[in-house]
Order: sequence, then structure tokens, then C-alpha cells
Amino acid sequence: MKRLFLTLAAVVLLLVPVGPASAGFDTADLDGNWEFFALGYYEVYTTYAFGSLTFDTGLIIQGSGQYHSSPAQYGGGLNLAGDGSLTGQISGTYADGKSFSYQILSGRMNSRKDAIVGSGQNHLWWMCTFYLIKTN
Amino acid sequence: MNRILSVVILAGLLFIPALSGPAQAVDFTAADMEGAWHLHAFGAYEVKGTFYYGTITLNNEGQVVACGDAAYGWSPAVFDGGGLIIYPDGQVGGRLSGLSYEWGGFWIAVKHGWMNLSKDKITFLAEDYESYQLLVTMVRVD
Repeated sequence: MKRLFLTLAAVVLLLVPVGPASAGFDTADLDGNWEFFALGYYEVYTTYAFGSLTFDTGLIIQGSGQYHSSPAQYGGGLNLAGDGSLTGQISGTYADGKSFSYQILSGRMNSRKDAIVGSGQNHLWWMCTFYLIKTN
Repeated sequence: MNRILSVVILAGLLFIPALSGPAQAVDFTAADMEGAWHLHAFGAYEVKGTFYYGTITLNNEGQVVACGDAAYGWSPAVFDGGGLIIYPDGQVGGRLSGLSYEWGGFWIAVKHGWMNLSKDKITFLAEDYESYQLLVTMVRVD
């Protein structure tokens, strides 16, 4: 019996993934607080934004920061697939209720699940690069 | 002997999950910035775009103490001053400065930045001395 237990335990030890390559991704991996960074341009125009976002099951339930030089409030949500790929839209309002949005067309979460890099566009179709850094 | 081996294996089974997934409840100090970092920045302003890159070494107070293989646009450059500060929650601020062969002195000021929980990456939005809006990422070398 003891030998069987030891053999099974050894097999489990060999099968359990070790280190950053943890298995699979789930929407719950987005839960918590993230810092969002965006930069894009088109011809003579530059767009940039940053903010602190709180996610719950993929939805931004709280978010504030800056859009260009104006204070901004954030909303929207992201979809995280099982392979770590990510799409979605981070939108917001600034100044006197004016709206903006950034669409992540192709993104990826790292294996440690504490960073996301993405590419896409803003609401005016200006090309953008995005980073999200998990803060807790 | 078997009992000891069983205890060791069980301890290993309990320890392994701690190695997977993101770190949680992390505190940050200036010492977390010590070491060499690859810096890459891309930015735009009006009709122009630019980039910076370089390998910079920060001391345990976040000050730039060494630089290698750096450029500002197509000009060779060196980051030779300034530094970054980090707050206990991971937020990063500060200003990096340097000298390019073609255009002389430059600086990059952090608008909003954070270190990741693994402490191997710093990301920030910044503005440089020519009003370029920059998205900067720094990846730890060692």
C-alpha cells in the first residue's frame, strides 16, 4: 500500500506543471486591478491614455485615469480565451461627457498572468499599442 | 524511511502550487529597480514619430549608473542621468536623461508607470523633451 502511494505521489510530482507555465487561462484571471496604458497615432494625430481598472468576470467595474490631458472614467470589458489570447474594448468618458474607446483586436496575457500586451485601434481607427500591468 | 519519503513528497506537493501563477500582495522598494534593464520606447507627436532604446543599469536607489547599446532615433545615444522612483504599491515615477550624438541632450519624464508583480518589467507613459508622447517598456536583463 505504501509503495503504491509513493508511486502515485511520484507520478503526480512529475505531471504537475512547475513555474510560470501554469495551465490554461480563464476570465477569472482578469479579476482584480490592472494599470492600462495606450498609445496610438494616425497621420498628424497622437492618442494616449492610462488608467487604473478593476475587473470582475471580464467587465471593468471601476476605472479612472487620464485620456490625453483630461481626467477620465473607464468602462468596457475584455475576453480572455483559454490559450491566453485576448480581445475586447476599453472605453471611457472625459471632459464634458465626451467618449472615447480603445479596441484590442489582438492581445495576449503572459504565463505569469500579470501582464497583457495588445494591438488595435481607437474609436477613430487610429492604430494603437496597449499594455496592462496587474497590480494585485 | 518510507514515512520520511512520504512526508518529503507531500511537502513537495503542497509547495508546487505556490510556484505557479502570479505573485500576490507584493511590496515594492527602490532596491527592486537595481540591475540592468532593456528599455524600449516608441512615441509620436504631430507629424513625427520617434523611438528610444538602450540597456540601462539602475542602482538600489533607482539612479542610472551605466548604459550600453543605446539610441535615440537613428542616432547613437547614452542614458547618463536621472532615475526612477518606485512607491510601495508598485507605481513608478521619475525622469531619465541622456545625450544623443546627433541632437544633444534629451530627457524622458514618466507620466504614469508601474512595475509588474514579478518585478521584471516596468511600463510607463511618458513625455520627452520634444513633447513626444511615449509608451515605454523596460524588461529586466538579469
